[in-house]
Amino acid sequence: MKQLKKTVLGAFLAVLCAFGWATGPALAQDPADAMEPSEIPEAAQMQQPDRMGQPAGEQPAYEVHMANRTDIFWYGVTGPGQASSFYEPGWHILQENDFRAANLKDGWDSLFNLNVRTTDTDQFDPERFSIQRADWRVKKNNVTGYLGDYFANLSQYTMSQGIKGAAFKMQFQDADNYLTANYGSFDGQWSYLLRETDDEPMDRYGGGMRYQFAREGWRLGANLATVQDRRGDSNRAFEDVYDQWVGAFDWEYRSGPVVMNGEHAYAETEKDSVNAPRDNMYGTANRVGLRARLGVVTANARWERVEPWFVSVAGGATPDRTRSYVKLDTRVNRTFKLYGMFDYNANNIEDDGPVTTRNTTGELGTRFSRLFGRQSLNGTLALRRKWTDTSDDSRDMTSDRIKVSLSDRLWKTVRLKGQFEAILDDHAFDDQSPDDYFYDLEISSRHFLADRAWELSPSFQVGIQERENLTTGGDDVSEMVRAEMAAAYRRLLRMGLNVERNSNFFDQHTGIDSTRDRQNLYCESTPEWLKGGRLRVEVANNDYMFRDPTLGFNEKIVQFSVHFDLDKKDTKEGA
Amino acid sequence: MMRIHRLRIVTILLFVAAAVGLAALAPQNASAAWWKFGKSDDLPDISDLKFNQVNVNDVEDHLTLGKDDLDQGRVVLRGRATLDQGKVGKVEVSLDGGKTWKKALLGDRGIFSFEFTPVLERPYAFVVRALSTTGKSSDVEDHTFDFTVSSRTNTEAVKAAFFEMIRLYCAENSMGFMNGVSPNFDGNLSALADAVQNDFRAFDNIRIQAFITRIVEFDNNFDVYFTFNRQVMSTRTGQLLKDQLASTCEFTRQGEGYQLYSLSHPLIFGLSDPENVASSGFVTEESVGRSAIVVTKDGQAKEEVLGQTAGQGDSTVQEGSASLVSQGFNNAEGFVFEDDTVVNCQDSPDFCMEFHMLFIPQASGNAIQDLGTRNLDDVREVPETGYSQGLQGETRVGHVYAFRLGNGHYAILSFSELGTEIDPVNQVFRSRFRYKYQTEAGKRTF
Repeated sequence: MKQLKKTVLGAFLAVLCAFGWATGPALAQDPADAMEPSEIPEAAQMQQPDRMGQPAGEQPAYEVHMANRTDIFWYGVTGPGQASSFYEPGWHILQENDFRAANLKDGWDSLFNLNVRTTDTDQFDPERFSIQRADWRVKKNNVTGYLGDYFANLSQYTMSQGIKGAAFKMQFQDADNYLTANYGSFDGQWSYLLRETDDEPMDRYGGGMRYQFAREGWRLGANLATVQDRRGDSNRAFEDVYDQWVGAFDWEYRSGPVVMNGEHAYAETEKDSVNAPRDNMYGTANRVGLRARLGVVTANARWERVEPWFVSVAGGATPDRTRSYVKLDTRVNRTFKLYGMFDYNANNIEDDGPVTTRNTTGELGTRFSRLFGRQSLNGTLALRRKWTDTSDDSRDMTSDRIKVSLSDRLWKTVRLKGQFEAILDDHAFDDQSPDDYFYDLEISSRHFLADRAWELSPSFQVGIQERENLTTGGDDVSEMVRAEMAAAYRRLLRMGLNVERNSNFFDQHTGIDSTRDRQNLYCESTPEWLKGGRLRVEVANNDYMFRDPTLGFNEKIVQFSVHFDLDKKDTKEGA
Repeated sequence: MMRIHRLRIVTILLFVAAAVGLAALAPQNASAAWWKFGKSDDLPDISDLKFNQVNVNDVEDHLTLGKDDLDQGRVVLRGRATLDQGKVGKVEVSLDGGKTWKKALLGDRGIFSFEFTPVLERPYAFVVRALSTTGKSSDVEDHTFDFTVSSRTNTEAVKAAFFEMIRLYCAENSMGFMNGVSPNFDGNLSALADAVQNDFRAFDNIRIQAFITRIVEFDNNFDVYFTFNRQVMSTRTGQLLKDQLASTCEFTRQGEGYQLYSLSHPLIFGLSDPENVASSGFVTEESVGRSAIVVTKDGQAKEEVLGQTAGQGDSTVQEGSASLVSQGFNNAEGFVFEDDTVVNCQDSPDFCMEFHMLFIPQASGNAIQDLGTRNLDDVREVPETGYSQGLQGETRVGHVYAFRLGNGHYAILSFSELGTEIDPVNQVFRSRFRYKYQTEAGKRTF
């Protein structure tokens, strides 16, 4: 294992060196303004000289920003089933403050963000005072440093994870040629990092590096990530402890309308269970994608294979899975597009588990727009068949779906949208054949009054879903009706009334029938003196009714919100 | 409470009436040549089309940009026009469906750009075409779509999409919910549709209150970090289940708004099939060790402590962990595998813990055998024979014990803690274990 690790590490470093030699000297440029090499439009550069990098010596403008969000709630809960209410009765507060400071020091492009939350109830946060976000970014020429909260994104298989730690990014010719590295704690809350709390999970640390090299039409990325759990952590209960590293190469190739990409990863993981010997796991993961326009056909294809013992703690991969996906689209004419899709996935790919489950889906459909010459008449008609079966014959399911949707605009102001969907012959369990149906209709409109000073937006939606009850063979029915009237005055005032009923009825009492009635009235103002801030008052009434009346309860909610921003900026010319 | 039968009939009638009405309103000059397709090889082609940083190559009918997509209030259209035989002469852009055309700036290698300042919330009918020097045009239908720049930012749009998904899920509107899921969903789209349906069979009266802690943009997708309080009622037991967890999900730009692109453990939606629904095999760090609502393979909703591995496993194996407390011989707890419940030893459990010792009630017909020091996850199959009514020796931490139950099912368990004295005054002892239960009678694999 160690020999293999050294070999892969050596290969990784060799590739890094090769790329480093190939890229040549670093150039200072603004990463935010650069584009992929295949898409650098010289013409755009001509049009936007002011966006192609900050001229040397120019001092960035400083900016201090503070945002305040105060929400005060009152919850009243009554009725025999009030213990089931979600809310803690009485008055509560949720206070959030953002602080942002940019470019405070001359000659440094820097940004500091801090978000803190204060509340009096566990409903919003178990902590009474908590830091939600704290990060600091400093940029000098082509190097950017990060401290605090950082979204560490290397590649899909290696790392895509929010961390609290440090990172840096060094850019070469443009934004697509760079070296980045990061390391930090995976703690979700700052309180976990700063002090021990009762609900803190086991400590986990990790980091990685990525080198990306790109030229016109292609790019390559080399990634290495490592993650460790702290063994002997007092917060550990039954959880397994992992110590792993993952190496991966990812690539993309573009040639006109053809784009191919892929990633190839190898992971080594030590897993330490609570009451078992340490386990060493090795595995690879590979994915390849293709997007191409070939004449009148657009093709999207993906293939992925993740071995059973490929584990990525910080990245995204489901072990023991293979998947193939192809979708073809073609335009018949101005009105009609046709598409076909095939998706297959299966587990137990090395056949070492007891059961293999296979899912296969095929779909054919048409999308139409501007039907019958009507500009807004659009819709979809799709047919899908799905098979799921297992190698031990414990499941053998086939289901068909038909889906129709239609939308149009009438008299320029009224929008109409309808949808029907049926899932048929779904042999999900045993030999029963439950059929599900869904109907949805939505009508909305938009009207302007008093020389466009007022805008009125009424809408109405009704939806019904029937699911065949697997136990009884009857139907479980969900119904929803919603009506809303919203009004806005010159973007200074918004108000609305929303009335909604959601019901669930179960065949032969296998479930607990329920109906929820909700009425909600709100008024929101953005007065000029608040300079972009807003005041909002909202009143809501929720009635929960059950077949068993002793479960019913009522909630009344009143909410006051004050949100405002305070800014201070450098106003000097050219800043 | 009455079912609203009439509501359903009215909906169907309205739907049919709308379809018929729209057909009747259709003008007579509808195109009849639907079967004609194909294009000449010497026509110009447009690719790599972007509105600022937003890729618009695959836009179907409509695109909504957030106001933060604008670059100082402007949209800079960039793209590439190519022609296999011949030369691209010019590229033109229309914002009114082809009524008027404006010339884009064309550079070397067919790269072009066009800049304009859109008005927020105004619909534009966008068309771009490339013309060869001989006057032949690219297929304008490939790049014709309506677009609007919303007065909302992308973050606000993602936030709205996230809360709409929660609303639809709580209303048990599975099909409405699936409309909000991207066709390119990163997990298994079909599995998500099934899992959501099965969720609604396993529990009702869903309440979810979510708080977004952070929204991070990466490559035009948005990762939403959130905490949530959830409450559901098990349809099988009527029990009220609650959890409070942290997780992440991802949204992707799709036409008029944002659609759900991926979900992570612990799942907020699709709890019935975590292996196929979640993109990553790992529980979001913040929720490790927390109690979460899960749906077992046989469709029962319950609370379970989250571990870190979300392995593939056998679809008929029920997994869990529990803690048993004993206080003297007459006040000890036992466990029932089938129901995943802790009961008093008087209530006929599958086994019982007294101090640090495991006992099997004689009337149960259960039998046990010690498989030695093993990792519970490494035990793929248990023996058919070799079981006895009681353990031949001490109960040990780290050993795996196999059960052949009186009801014909098999189970395995492993202790992480045995007889820890947690209250010396009252002589209270605690044992903790993890187990697997084969829900299919007679099946010995795990």
